[in-house]
Amino acid sequence: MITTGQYPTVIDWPLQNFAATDMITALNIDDPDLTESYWLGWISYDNLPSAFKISRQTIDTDARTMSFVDVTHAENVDISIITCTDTSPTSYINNPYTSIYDGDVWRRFDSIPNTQYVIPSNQSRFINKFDVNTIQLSNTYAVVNMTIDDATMAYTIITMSPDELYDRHFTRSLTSSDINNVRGSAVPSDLSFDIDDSMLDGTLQTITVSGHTIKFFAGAFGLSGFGRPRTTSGGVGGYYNPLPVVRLHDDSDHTFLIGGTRFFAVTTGWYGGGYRITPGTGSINAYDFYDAATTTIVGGFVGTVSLDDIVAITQNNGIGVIAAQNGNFAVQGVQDSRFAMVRRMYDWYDIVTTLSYLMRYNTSNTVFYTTDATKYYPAISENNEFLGYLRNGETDYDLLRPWQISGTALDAESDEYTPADKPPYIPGEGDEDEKIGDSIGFNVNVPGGTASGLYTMYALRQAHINNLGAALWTSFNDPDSNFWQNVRMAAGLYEESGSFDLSAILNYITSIRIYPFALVNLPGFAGAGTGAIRMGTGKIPLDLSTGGAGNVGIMGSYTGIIDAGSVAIPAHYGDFRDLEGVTMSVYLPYIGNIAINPAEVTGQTLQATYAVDLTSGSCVAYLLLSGSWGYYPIGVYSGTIGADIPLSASQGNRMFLRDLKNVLGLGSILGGSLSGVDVTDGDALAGAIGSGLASGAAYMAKNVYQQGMSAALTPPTLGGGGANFAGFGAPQTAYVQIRRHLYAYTARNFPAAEMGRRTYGVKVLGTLSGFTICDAVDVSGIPAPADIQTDIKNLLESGVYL
Amino acid sequence: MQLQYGKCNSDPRVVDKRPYFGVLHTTDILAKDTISDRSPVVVIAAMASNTDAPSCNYAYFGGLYYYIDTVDILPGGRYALHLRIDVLTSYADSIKNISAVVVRQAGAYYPMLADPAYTKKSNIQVETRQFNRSPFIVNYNSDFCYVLSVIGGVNT
Repeated sequence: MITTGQYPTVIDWPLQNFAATDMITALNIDDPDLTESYWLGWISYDNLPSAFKISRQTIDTDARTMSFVDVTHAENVDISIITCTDTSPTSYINNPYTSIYDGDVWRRFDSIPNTQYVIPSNQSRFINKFDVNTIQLSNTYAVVNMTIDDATMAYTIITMSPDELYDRHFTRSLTSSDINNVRGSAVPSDLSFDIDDSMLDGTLQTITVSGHTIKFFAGAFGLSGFGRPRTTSGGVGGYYNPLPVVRLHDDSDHTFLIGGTRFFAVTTGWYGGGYRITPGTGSINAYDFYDAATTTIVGGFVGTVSLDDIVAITQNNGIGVIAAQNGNFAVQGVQDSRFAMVRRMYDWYDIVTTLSYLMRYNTSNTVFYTTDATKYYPAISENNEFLGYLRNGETDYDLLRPWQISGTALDAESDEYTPADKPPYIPGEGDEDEKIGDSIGFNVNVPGGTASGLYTMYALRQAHINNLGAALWTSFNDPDSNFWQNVRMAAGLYEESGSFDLSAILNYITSIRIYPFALVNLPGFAGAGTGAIRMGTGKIPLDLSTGGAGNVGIMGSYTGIIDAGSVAIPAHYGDFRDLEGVTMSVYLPYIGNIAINPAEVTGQTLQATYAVDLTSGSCVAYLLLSGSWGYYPIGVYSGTIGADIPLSASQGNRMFLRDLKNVLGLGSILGGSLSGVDVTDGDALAGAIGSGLASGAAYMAKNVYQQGMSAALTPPTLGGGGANFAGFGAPQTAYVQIRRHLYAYTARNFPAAEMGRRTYGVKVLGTLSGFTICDAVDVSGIPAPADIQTDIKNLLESGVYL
Repeated sequence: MQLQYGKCNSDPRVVDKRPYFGVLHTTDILAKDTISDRSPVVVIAAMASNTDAPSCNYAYFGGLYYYIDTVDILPGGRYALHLRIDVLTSYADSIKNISAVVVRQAGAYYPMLADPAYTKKSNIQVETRQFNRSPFIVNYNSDFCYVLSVIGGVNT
């Protein structure tokens, strides 16, 4: 909500000089329209290191909900200026003073102690020099920006709109203990807020102040749920729940320490978040600033620090506990409780977020750890725009609320978010479920075994193939040799003439295929057998284990099931642009490219599972969506995944050899020997096949992009698995490819405040806020002359600000 | 009849400008020359004592709100204010009670409705996202990647 107003310079009450460095200021607004009273607080820019604390005074106890005031009504309400000076955090709230800035110095209104000064309705006071960058409500941890323009004296307080903040996130009613908590005297354990995705939708807030663009900063959020940190070395007990502190730094050299510090002080009691710590003189703590490079204390009170300086809080009694430091400094560190994904912004305010949290590690020292979260995630500094989460290792609470900034353009060439910066997809917008009906279970029914004695499948390594080739052919003409002599004799294949019926022998072997996966990973892999295979009657083993090949494997099933993994398809824009004109395809190895419907899969997870037929080399790939509704299949596709190595008699001819050479591109490997091989020449065949298979397999895996394999350079099309080996040269990991339009606007810089965004339906205009365009407005109920009714109608249909 | 006038710097399209209307002065209307209800001219006493009067641009009287378009200095220290009705603020309460079909809104919008206001660029973006498993990447030298199928044999 943007509000602007003007205030003349009228100061008509006693003033007293007020030291800027020991002041905490709050603005109290009694809003008769809302029958509530609010306190907003800030620190002046002269008071940079002061911790900031805010409370809200309630008038109507029934309406004590955390919210921000809409100071649009400022001129019709009472405004109180409250300032407090106190070195004791526990008491300052009880000793408020009214102060005002008269354009030169801060003045304190002493004559009305313990109360606030009220600017009567419809009167004005000069409130100037508030260059307030961030206001944070302790224990609500939302952020408001405020500024007052010196020249025009126009002030603006930006609050998060009720729709975005009040209604959705801060509806918890406060109790008196909450107020005390804010004050620091009590900390209710239940003051926490659930975080859901809807809070991270990055809805834009419109911020324009005196011609400047103001950025919302993400404040710490829900910190009271923060758990005990891990500690990594001795002496760190940390039994008090630490709470983060957000330190902000902007490019105007203003440093703010804000946030919900809730820690056990050195002396006594709990102290409220963000209380002021008087530099050097306070009985509690003092600030020190550490040089980032040397980690030595710069010394004294430092009003401004550089981006890399380290803020520390130390005890002034010399115990000298480092209270805030960079992430890796502390030996007592909390390195394993890292904070994540802090948003960093720049432009008008170059704000670096430093997350700190405080812990007590013994009875006398309080440690206040600070880590510049950006150091953990360099990507933050790359874009200086970050939307994400802040977590430590102990809690699921988000520590920073990722509000986005209107009018803050990303880099001109940057059209996308950082990977973690993607807004959530909004499926269906609540009208209808996008997935209805039954969940289709993916229950694979794998046959338990093979038909023993009829058909046997061995799982072999390349070395086994080498041995098989040698056994088949090297000893082919040696009637005294091992296996084949016996086989031939037993089968009656040996002919006295010395010629052999090769096809009859090879009829025992139905196929040899190579698959692009490890057979041992299949459910049907029955384990290692012996070193020998048997065929036919099975009486005569053929040992393939020689040469270190080891035992062969036995396949216990005709089917293999392969999990090809999954991929999340998050929304990119988080709105209609994720679907409008977007095309998506899935590439599945050995299947091809498949077009999928973006509206069906965006924001969900796609997974692929293959079922392989080991008897034929074919496969079926199942593409499914998985979600809370179960499995949702979107397609079943077939392909060929097993590549035949032709060894049967019918294939054992010159055509086979030529094809094998061409397909595999083995010509260079075999030195052209295959081209002249006579299939009746057993020795020549043995040498060619044995060495060819041996080297060919490895070659396929590495360098199958050869002539004759050019098809592999293009992702295979659906069903195009006929060229068995081609798939081996294509990408071996499934992927999704999304083609989307780029837009002139991002979700962040779209001028929704000036243009609105698309909506529909009938709404009561009084329930809306901001820019609005209506259609076909009926203004007959407005008690005005017809021409004025027409004017109103035209204005409502061309756009107004509600 | 009295007239209140002051400054209001709100966008003219703001329906209810009352919160922004800083009322600075109240004075009697000495005469009213109503050219029309929409654009009356009123005569008031001197504005000279009010140093900020020249910057005043907004007025209220008779239950309606007006822009001050021009100010004529009249004899006798009087001023003639040429007013133009602000129909939005004058009837703000009635407008807020209207139920209407809303087609664009700053806050109550539906992101999944196609919005032509998002101007497309001519270039496109191609995003490739790999699946998280690669079961087809194996070591062909050492893994069991071959299946030898034989007739008969012994499954041991």
